[in-house]
Amino acid sequence: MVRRFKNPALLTVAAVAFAQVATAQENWRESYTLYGTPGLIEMPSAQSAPDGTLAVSVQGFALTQRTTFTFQLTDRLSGSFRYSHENDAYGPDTQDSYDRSFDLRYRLVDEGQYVPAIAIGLQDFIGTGRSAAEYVVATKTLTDTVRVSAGIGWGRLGSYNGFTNPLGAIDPAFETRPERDFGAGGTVAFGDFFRGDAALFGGVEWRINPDLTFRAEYSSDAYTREAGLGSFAPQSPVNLGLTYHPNQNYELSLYSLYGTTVGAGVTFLIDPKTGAAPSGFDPAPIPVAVRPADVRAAQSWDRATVSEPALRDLLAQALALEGIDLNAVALEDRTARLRYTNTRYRAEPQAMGRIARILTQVLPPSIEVFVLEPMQRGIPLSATTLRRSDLESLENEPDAAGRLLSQTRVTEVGGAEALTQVAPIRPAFSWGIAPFAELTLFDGENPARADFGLELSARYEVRPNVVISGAIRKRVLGDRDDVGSISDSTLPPVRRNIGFYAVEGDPGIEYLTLAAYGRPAPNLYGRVTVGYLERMFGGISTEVLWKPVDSRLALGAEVNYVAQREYDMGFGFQDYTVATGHVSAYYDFNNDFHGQIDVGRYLAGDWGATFSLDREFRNGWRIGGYFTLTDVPFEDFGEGSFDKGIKITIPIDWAIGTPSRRDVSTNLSSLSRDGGARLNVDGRLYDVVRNGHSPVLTDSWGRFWR
Amino acid sequence: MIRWFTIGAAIAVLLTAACGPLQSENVGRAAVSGILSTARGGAAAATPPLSRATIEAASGPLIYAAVLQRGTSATLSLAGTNSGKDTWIAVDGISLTVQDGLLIATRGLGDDLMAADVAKLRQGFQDGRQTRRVHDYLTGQDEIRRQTYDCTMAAKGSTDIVIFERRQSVTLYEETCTGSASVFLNRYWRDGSGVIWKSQQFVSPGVGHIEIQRL
Repeated sequence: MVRRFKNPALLTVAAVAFAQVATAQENWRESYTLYGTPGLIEMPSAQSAPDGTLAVSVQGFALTQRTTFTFQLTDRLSGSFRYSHENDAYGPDTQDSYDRSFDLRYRLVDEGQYVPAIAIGLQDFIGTGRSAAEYVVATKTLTDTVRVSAGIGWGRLGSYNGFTNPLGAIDPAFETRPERDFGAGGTVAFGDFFRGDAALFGGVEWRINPDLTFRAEYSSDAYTREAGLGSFAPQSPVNLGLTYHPNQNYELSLYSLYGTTVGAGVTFLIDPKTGAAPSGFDPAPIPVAVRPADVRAAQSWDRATVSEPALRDLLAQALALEGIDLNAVALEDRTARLRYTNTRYRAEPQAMGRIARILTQVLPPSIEVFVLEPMQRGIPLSATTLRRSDLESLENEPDAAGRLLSQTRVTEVGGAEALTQVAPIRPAFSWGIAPFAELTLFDGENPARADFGLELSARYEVRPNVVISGAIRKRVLGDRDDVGSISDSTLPPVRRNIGFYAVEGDPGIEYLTLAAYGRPAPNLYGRVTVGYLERMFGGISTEVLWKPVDSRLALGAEVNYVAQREYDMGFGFQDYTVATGHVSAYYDFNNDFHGQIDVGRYLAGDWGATFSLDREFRNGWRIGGYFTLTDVPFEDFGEGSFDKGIKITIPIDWAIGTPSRRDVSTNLSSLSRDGGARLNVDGRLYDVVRNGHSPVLTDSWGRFWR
Repeated sequence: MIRWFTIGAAIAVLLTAACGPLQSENVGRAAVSGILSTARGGAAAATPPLSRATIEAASGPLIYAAVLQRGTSATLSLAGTNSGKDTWIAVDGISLTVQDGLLIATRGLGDDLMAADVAKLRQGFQDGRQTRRVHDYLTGQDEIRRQTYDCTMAAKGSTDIVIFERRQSVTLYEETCTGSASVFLNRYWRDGSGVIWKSQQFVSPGVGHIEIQRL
């Protein structure tokens, strides 16, 4: 009689094509260069991608191949991280090289009716600077199908038909570009910017039809270094390209380059703001049960007819269907207060909406106020107070989420005294086997390394806030058998030797810990973790966090005493022990940016600070960068001079469209050096707490009625 | 040789769905089991086709609905009523909320209509009448985005339709709506007493139209 609605293939399709439905191209969007940035072919343009766009580009020709991540940080500012491979990097029949580089571009002027867009940019401005260049470029759309760009470049972009730097009029020092002394790399060469000869470049983009764009440019890059080495000999400054862009998700390009070679590239465009399905494919919630008018005024309920323990059991069973563990409950005459752990929904408001609707179905009619206290790791995070009559009157109404939020209070949790603990439905002991994939990207010598295998994990919940957990991993496929050489350093090898763990610790204990969480005082959170904390270190880790429910600022302190583990990842330890810890400040800016500063002592005993800035999307996407400066001198640190990197976090529900609290994070360009290295402890307090607090909680309120 | 064996073993490992209670919320597991159930033909094939006899035999009221763009359909039963708004739910958890035959919310379709303000339309269908409707959508950023549409109703004449062996005399109305983001056309087959027996109503750009039949 009843038939299924959902087409199961739909989920699969959504998972594979994790991008929005292609719509008709209303605007002529930017095309991407061989450097993976918006522009012509090798030359930049003044165009920006739409705010938040992440472009992943793989482009190249015989000499060099470049993988670039370009992120539109704000409407005007974009940043690129590039990993380049160069054949015959030191002349014909010499070895290849891998180089990492960073760009920044800022659009100074928006395109108007007569005014072109104007942008200023730094290319490869950190490190060896093999592609270092600076530019100012203007772009104007002339007709619906023709767009032109022209600019002036310095450095690499000032090398063909260069002329004396016009900035020399300001200061003659601009006329010479110093030889870059990059030392161990990784530092910013401020002294080089806009110095030396300048040259002009330009080009045109012609949209042949909505799916196809032809590009032609005059390049100001003479490939001086490569021509000198004999590995590349440009014959002409003119480059031509044809780009196929059938939808908003990718483009394919073919190029004729410098009159001597051909190139090709593909760019994938990811819009973090729009996932596989904006409202998700999660099943509908149970509807609100509306109380008849005559029973709404009841002041109490009869505990003789409705037994309280039976009601608690019923609640626990019903909430379990939504992936919610009921921890404790207080059922008064007019108020019900619940503490629960949401294990399914990324956004706490969505779990709240589902709990509230279940409560309207289950609770006696005299109960008018619902107080929902979400917990994570066994500690309550905040209290959201809802009125049952608001739920009844707002269900299915326009603007229901906004109107409900204006009637709702989010506060610090109440005391535990009145609560009755509810026996967990799930057994205290649980286990699982799952495949794992470990991916290391752009680590200096290899563009990508991957390990695949199986992880056996187990968890025993002594109490909701005291958990013993562990995992063992066995690799099945991977290319970590050869550790290679460990470079010399004056620092203790706290991260440099990570390769030995991958080789000798197979199978190995990934982690085995006892973790306890607590609420020592209002606005305060605490954690103690003991055991094998991570792959390389074991010991004790303690942490305190101050975070009022509605505060954008949080302060934390962490103190750890750890010993380095044996390479076999068994129970043994090496001789190296260290006390390490940080004080941290976290701030959630109003404009989707999040900043963090950690000051303290790192694993190698070095003192310093880490600065992080992330662009955060409300759906859980995070893209950010960090750097760490410590008292380790740059030459002792080794390659890169100091630790820095880019971190991308992608929520699983964005990618597949069904609910999940999980996300995947990847760290680009980390080098596993010893200076500025931090302990990896699972379950740091800030990450545990903040989703249950404002502003994250209220920012996701649109999902309450989902 | 050994290398190929290893690769084969690795693929086998990765194809293995995660198992054990700790992996119960593992989405990879859900995806794999979904694919497996599709491969097995699913449970859908086992249910008998809908007919007037099965409708009459049902214990409660039912509606039939189809997502036209996706070619999927289901029978939905009444799950709750709030202020004249009926929420109908299918076994796999997709729900439609309908008031006087007008679709005002969906859940579980991926790009859901979170709510709709169709108060003007509910006052009556008249040829040439101009109305305004407001739709609430959930964005990929967890925010509610409101879309306003200006609509015109047109009567397209009387006709007979058959809904699972039962004939109805109805008038076809077409509602043409224009908003900043999209333009759509809704159709309603409505009888003399104002009951909408069949309709094709726009949900969202991602879902398209849904056809609803009153059984």
